[in-house]
Amino acid sequence: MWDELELPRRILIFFGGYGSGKTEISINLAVHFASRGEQVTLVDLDTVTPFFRTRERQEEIEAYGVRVVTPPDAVRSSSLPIPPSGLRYIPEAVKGRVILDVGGNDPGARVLRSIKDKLVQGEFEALFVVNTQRPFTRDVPSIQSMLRSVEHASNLSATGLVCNTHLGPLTDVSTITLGLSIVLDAAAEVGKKVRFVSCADTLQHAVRQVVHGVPVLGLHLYMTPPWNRTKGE
Amino acid sequence: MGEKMLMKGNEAIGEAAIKAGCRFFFGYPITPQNELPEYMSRRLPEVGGVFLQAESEVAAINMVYGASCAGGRVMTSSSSPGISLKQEGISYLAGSELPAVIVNIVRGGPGLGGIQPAQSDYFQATRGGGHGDYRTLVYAPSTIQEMVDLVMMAFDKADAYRNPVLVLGDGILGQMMEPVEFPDEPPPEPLAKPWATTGAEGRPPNIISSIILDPELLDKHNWHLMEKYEQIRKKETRWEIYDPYEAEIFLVAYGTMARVARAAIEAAHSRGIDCGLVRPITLWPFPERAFDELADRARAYLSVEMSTGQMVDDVKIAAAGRAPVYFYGRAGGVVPSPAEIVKKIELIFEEIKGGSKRA
Repeated sequence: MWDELELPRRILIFFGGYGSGKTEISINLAVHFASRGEQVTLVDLDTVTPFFRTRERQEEIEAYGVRVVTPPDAVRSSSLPIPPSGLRYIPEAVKGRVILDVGGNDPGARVLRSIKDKLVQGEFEALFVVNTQRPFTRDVPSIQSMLRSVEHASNLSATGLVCNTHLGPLTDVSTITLGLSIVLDAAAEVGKKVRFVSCADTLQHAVRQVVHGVPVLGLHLYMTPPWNRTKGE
Repeated sequence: MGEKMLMKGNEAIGEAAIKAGCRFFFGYPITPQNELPEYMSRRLPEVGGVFLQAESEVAAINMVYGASCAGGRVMTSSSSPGISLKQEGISYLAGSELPAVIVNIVRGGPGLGGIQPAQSDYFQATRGGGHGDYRTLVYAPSTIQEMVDLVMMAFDKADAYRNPVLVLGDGILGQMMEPVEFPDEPPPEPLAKPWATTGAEGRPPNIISSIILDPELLDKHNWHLMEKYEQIRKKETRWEIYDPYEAEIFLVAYGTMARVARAAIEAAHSRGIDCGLVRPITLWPFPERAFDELADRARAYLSVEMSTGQMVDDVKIAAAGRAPVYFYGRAGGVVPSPAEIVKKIELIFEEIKGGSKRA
């Protein structure tokens, strides 16, 4: 279903603002690659927020054949800045696909500095995720400023942008196309490409009708609490 | 209303405060509310306000006291252990009749506890928390939009009653994202504060203090405060009754738990048991009138909480023996699931049987 998607590089890093969608995208891609028979390791590198982290869905994700790496058990339920043990060896020693789901904003991106020297140019993608409906990435200048701050904190230059614009249950196709046009402008401004646009799987067909030239990823929403999946308040 | 944005609860509280004219924030970091001070540190300088990270919660609440004395619209936020540290200052604010908005994004206790969501600060929030005869208006939003609306209102009520107002959330509400919108128009001019210490040139100095050594005068001051709380009780109590099935069993829940309760009500309905929900929006004053309205047909109440049972005491007071009151709760950061609640509903249904299951 994501046939147009081209992400040949082995290591995929997702960074960006708080709540930009890094975790949903990471989980979806991990499950997607695993379903194609690839060996996939998903690393929960969120050292800054207390909930809505990959580790909360570990069992569910592992059932798809994805290996999930989290911080040590003793600090799993904390927001202490303690990454998974052996993080520095993961880029070299772990075979197959590696997806790094990084925490938000510059404090979240900082952890990447500890593995920067282990990343081989051309072997990884560092993808900057943007939702233009979030407070600090609403237009081209603010997107650039957020990009600069996470690039600086991580000491990594983004290899591309991802548009994940949505407004929760109020999202419609125009929310996404408007967001994409802003993210495309921002990407052009910094000389990078938009690698894909993601949206809830329920909207993907409608979005494909109107978006051309950028791959569309339909996301299954893993992180929505079960009691929130019924119709909203 | 303005354009919609997708915000975390913590961010929405910050923007709502700024839209309400709050220009001073003093705080100290603690999970799970850190996005709020972080947001304020970014936004307040943009609007000519002051953000200051204090050396402790105790320092922060006393800075709030100072800014409030000087007539500023001021806010602080923390999570449970940090709110405990602020209690002395909150009592002083109440005693000195100073407005301020205090946000508690509750986590599991007691002590250092954990960082996962909880509702175990209900007693602390609704019984004063600090020392002395005082009350604080306590708002308990259940959606991010309601958080925005109540935070904006909290500043007005704090000024109107010259009393601290608490906003009680939990870690889930702080972290979850929902679309919100803010009013376009600038906030109305806040009430004049002739009592504030704004410089005594041309008038006698205003003195703000909570020390009253003469017992007769302190007694009088306390009764004056009580009169004010009586006004709040009369005018500011808020609640919502959700009753799609004309039920006889009513769940009572607030905040995140009210959302889980609604999912449980749907699940119970599909199993043939109809329930409704009383959702307190102010925890103090507690909406006792909601229970008077339901007195003729409610045959049981079930208080559902992320605690080992705190609000249930108020439900018992409000039900006043007119219907049995049951409790279900989980503590420490565990959120009761709709399925767990339905199980409890089924037990209650068995106990009060006489009425029959819907065909």
